[in-house]
Amino acid sequence: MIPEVNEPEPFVPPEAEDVCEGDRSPGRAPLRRLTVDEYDQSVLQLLGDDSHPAQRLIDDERDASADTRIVSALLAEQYMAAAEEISARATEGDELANTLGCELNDDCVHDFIDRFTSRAFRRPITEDERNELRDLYAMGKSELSEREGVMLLIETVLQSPDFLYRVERGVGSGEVLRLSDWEIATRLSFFIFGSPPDEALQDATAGGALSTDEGVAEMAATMLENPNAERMMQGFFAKLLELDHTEGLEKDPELFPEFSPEVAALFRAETQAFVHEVMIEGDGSWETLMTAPWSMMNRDLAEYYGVSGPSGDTFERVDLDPNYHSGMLTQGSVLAPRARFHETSPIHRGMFVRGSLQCGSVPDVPEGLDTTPPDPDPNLTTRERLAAHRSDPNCQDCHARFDPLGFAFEHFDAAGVYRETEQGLPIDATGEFAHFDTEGEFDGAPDLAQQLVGSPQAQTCFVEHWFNYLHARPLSEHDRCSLARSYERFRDSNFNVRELIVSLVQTDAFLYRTADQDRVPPEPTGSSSEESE
Amino acid sequence: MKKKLSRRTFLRGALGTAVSLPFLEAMLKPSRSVAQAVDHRKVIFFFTGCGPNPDTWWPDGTGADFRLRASLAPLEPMRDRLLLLDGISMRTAIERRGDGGNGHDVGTAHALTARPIVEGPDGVGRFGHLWDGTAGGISIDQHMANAIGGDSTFRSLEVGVRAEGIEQSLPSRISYRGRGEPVVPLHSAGATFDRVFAPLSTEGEAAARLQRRRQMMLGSVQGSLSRLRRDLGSEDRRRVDAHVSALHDIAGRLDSFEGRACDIPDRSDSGDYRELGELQLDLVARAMACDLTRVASIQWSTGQSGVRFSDLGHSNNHHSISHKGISDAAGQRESTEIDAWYATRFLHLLQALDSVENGRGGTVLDDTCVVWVNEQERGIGNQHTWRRMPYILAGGFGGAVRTGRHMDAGGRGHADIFVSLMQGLGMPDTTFGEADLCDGPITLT
Repeated sequence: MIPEVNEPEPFVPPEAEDVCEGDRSPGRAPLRRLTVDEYDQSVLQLLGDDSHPAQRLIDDERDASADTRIVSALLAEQYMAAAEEISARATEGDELANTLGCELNDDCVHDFIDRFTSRAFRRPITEDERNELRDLYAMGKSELSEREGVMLLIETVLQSPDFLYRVERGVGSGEVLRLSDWEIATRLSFFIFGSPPDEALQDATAGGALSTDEGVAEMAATMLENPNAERMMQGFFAKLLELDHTEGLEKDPELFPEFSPEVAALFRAETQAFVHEVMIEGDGSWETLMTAPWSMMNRDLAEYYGVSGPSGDTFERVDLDPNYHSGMLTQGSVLAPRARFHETSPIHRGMFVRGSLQCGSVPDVPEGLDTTPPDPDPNLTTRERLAAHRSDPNCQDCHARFDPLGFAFEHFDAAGVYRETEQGLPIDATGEFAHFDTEGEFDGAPDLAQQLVGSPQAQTCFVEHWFNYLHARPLSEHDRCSLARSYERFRDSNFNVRELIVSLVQTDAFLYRTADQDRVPPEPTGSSSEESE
Repeated sequence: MKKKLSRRTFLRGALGTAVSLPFLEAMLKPSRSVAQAVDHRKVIFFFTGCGPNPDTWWPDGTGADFRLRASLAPLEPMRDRLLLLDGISMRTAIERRGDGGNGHDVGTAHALTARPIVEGPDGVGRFGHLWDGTAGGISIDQHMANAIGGDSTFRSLEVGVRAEGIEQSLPSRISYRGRGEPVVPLHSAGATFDRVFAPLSTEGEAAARLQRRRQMMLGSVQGSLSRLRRDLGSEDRRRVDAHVSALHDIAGRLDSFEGRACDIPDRSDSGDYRELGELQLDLVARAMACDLTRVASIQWSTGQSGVRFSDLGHSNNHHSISHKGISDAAGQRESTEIDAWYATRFLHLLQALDSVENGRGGTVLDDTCVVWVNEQERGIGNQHTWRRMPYILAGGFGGAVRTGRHMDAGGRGHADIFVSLMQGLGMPDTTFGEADLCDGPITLT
């Protein structure tokens, strides 16, 4: 069966003036629970606890949208164990006075409740919360001890939904609510710093710094200058490029004796150093990320790649041949995982370009089709062996969408190293775009990358990835205006990623939320605390 | 094969807290009084992906007179404890696939839920690096756990062996508390040990004080959660309700923590696929033997398995092999080798369960039904189909399953197996999943 392939509609980049009409449209904002890293950063900030307790939580967050991250009984137990470990450390011996900031007595604990809870909940504590926690402390103190009362407070706050979830209620009334300044501060801080608002941001928020759109933009721009913004940059590119795939990477030791798990780790470090160099130290330009004829290497990695580079362990800038190398796209972290054990895989590399850089669809393999890859043949290149994909009508329609994109990288072997020839045969790295807004041909990775940079579809795709990263949910049609505004600003800044980030925090999707239409709940069924087991 | 499990003076407890052994012994009190066989019955789901090689999986001969072929040859020592079920399709996957998802998503999601895939709030499939859409409702293990797990220390246990990567567009999970609520398994043997065998509290006086603190904490947190849920829309409320229910489980366990005398295994861990898998199997078997739970699932990798069997000398991963042509000789051989590899692990689990006496003249395996569930029908030939599904039931299930047979169920849907097992557990259910696609229980005796 040949899959039905429709010619796509010609891609038209979104224009804000066409799609931004009428009411504000923030899209959905599902309740988000702290990720593992956000939890660890929070306890570090709250109590100086740098033991990364959340790393041991069972939490499937990789690639998960906010909608499917559920607290199971197991996870709840692990939250409990983590909170108890943290509270034990924070109240052990002299540490108790450090944690409280004063000598243990009721007044001191009451101050601690206000300060600690406001930081933990990322907003000022309410009167009811204050009273409840004071009562809780009094109960713990009288039944157990003062110290255990403080432990109880810490444990309770760290398991409260206001800590574990990023609760957003919005302010005012109507169908669309603006987020409170505290909620905006929280979004900004988790987005850019990967951590909850620090004292400075909380003070600025209390002083009204985030009460206007301009104020939010200014704050975002200021935060981007802070070294902590690195966490966002590394987090985003690790997801976009799926850097996790360097872990456990294996290559045929007979064909690639120089490759090792250490090399795979260096690949990852190379990309991280490159992201740092462009996004933190450099011009922050998407074009540089895609096309820079240089990369970051240390001695071991330069030796592995066979290029002349630094003599030490520090990663430094290394100029490369611009005819073959193109920014992050030709780094080992991208090309080696998208290859097979013993040979390259233009299919996987092409699917990465099509899926992750062009946001294009890749249809499923039709049922019953023999997709056995052809055996290695000393007289043919990989490209030649995949020729059936281009002649067989069963294959051609799909593979024309991605195989040629992968051929652009054939100068890089399965272990990520530049090669002049394949088994002594000349390499053909030409190809053509198909089913895409950019038509035409390319020759090699730098040419492909340059054409992608000029393609509105790839430009918009990059914006969409940022949107997903920021909101932990896919785009929906309600976000058309938010997307269009961000895209325009990205384009008008000549594709500066920092400008894109500031534009994202100016959108309806960032500053507003849709009021819940069905807030008055029926009595819970199946999970109420009255239910007997 | 009886295993002697050594003890240590100290065990590393949950998240690294050291607890001394005497408490563990105190915690694991002698068992409750002996009741009817049905109360001892246990179920374990053993999930593997990508399908077997049908040419070597299905045995020669039917009834008691069957001969295992290459895929299942490692199970020869347990031949008499197996019921090879033939004539069963994953009917719901064929007739009510649901909204989207590729073939692997369908097989994984339907394997234990027997319900169509449903869209998430934003549709189904992959959007950039996010996916959306999930299985359509509660899975059979969780449904059983709700019915019979209330008296157990753990309502259910879920362990995974390299099942954390998401290769598919859906959550790659087999177990669901409900629609959109995938249950994440324990990915490391150390984590499984910490959860199951490290106690929930410490010794004596200190234990009582910690318990009291936990009760006060739970009271306060449960109050905050119920106030919060009033402020939420229905989708968010569903998420918070799962959390409320999780705390409810903990509170129940604090009030009555009991198990039965049993050997505590050593805590160890490994990243190696085989070693990690066998450690997880040992811990599940041990938890069953100790009566800490009666329902468990083991997820080997994800549906669209990216595992490469380097110990078998394979250069392609499991998923790639399953997409080779139907008559590809190397693919045929490798597919069979993977079957036999998993069959050896399945044997390991059965032997672990059989190595512990149940105190009633049999072994724990005699009380248990281990169900080998696959994602699809065949692991060679590039097909995602579910017509002749390779189910194996192992263990006596307290007399409710007659083993040592290759039996043709005569064209049933897989949910009917679940109905038989539920009834074996004393549950009143007559259907599971898509009720109108069920024909009632399959006679397994």
